[in-house]
Amino acid sequence: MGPLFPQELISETINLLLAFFIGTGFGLALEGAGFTNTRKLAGVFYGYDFVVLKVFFTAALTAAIGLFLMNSYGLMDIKLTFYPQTFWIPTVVAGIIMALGFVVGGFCPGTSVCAAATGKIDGIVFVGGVLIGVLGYAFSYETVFEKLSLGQVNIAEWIGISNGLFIFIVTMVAVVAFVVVTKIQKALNDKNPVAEIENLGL
Amino acid sequence: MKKTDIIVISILFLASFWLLLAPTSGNQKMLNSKEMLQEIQKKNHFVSVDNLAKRIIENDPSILLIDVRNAKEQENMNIIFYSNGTTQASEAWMMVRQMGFKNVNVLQGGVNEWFSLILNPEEPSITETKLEIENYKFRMSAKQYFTGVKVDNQQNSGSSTSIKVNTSKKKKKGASGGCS
Repeated sequence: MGPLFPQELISETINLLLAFFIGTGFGLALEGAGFTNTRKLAGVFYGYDFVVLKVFFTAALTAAIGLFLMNSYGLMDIKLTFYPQTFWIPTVVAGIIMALGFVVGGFCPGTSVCAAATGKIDGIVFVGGVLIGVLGYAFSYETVFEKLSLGQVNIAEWIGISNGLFIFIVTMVAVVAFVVVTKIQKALNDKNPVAEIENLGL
Repeated sequence: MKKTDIIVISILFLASFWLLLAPTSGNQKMLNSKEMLQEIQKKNHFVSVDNLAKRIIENDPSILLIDVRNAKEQENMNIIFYSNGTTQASEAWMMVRQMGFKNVNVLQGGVNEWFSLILNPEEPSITETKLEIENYKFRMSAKQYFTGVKVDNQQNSGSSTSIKVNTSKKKKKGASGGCS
């Protein structure tokens, strides 16, 4: 059955409309959960708030499990979904740049757009950075990225296990991570209490 | 840990466990060399020319002819790509055109437009241009040709210039379907 757009079961206009509504919902959820607050995001690095890690880990796993379950039962042909190429070195470099931005400014690309929408000036500056990155990628694709592409990489295939088993292992890692970060958060907050962000009125 | 954390983790865990037990991906099972050899020996994959001719005459909608003769033999054919819309057909067109094929087209609007204009043509208002009305008449006859539905010609009683649908079209359709 799915995916809908690559098989042209819905038109481009409807596809963009759906993207608009899902994106708006995502933004509203992020804002509602306090993710446009830079302190909440920076909290991951200082150890007093791991909600961001939990949310994005959960989101990635939900999407992965959902997609592969639908694939298993014939509701979605995963081969037709967009599967980006892997750029090993650029990903490491970009990861470091993003992590620096994350710890200095307290935004990741998604939350910076939400923050900009709520009128935060630092959010708007970050969106500018995102745009520069996007344009830089687009204009240097042929000279830099094309040569560094590893093609479509599937870690599960590379190790030689099924996608289901790989996702199961990642879920186990997530469960362990959830328990560990909750302990770290509790220990840190007991020692040096930080007022709940919601109560700071920021 | 908070109660919600535990609920979320449990759901994730159960779902990933379910995924582990779910049938391994793909509705299409790949054959190994032994199975392939067996299939070849059984010769069940051949369809007789009589059977094919019959199915084409009967307008069997479930057949998809794919022409895999070499490029030289297809040179003089008008290849028409179609998909539901035009995105995929245009991708195929770009690839084939880039290879240097000349007589290549894309069905404008794709199967969706075929459905809405040929199988479900909308009657134009009287104030429409003559061309539009002629188009509509052609589409109604095309509809009759493809679906076998008798077309009610009451509204067209003014001019009875019935547009004949060229029967050689059938041939062309076979070719276009075959190449896509």
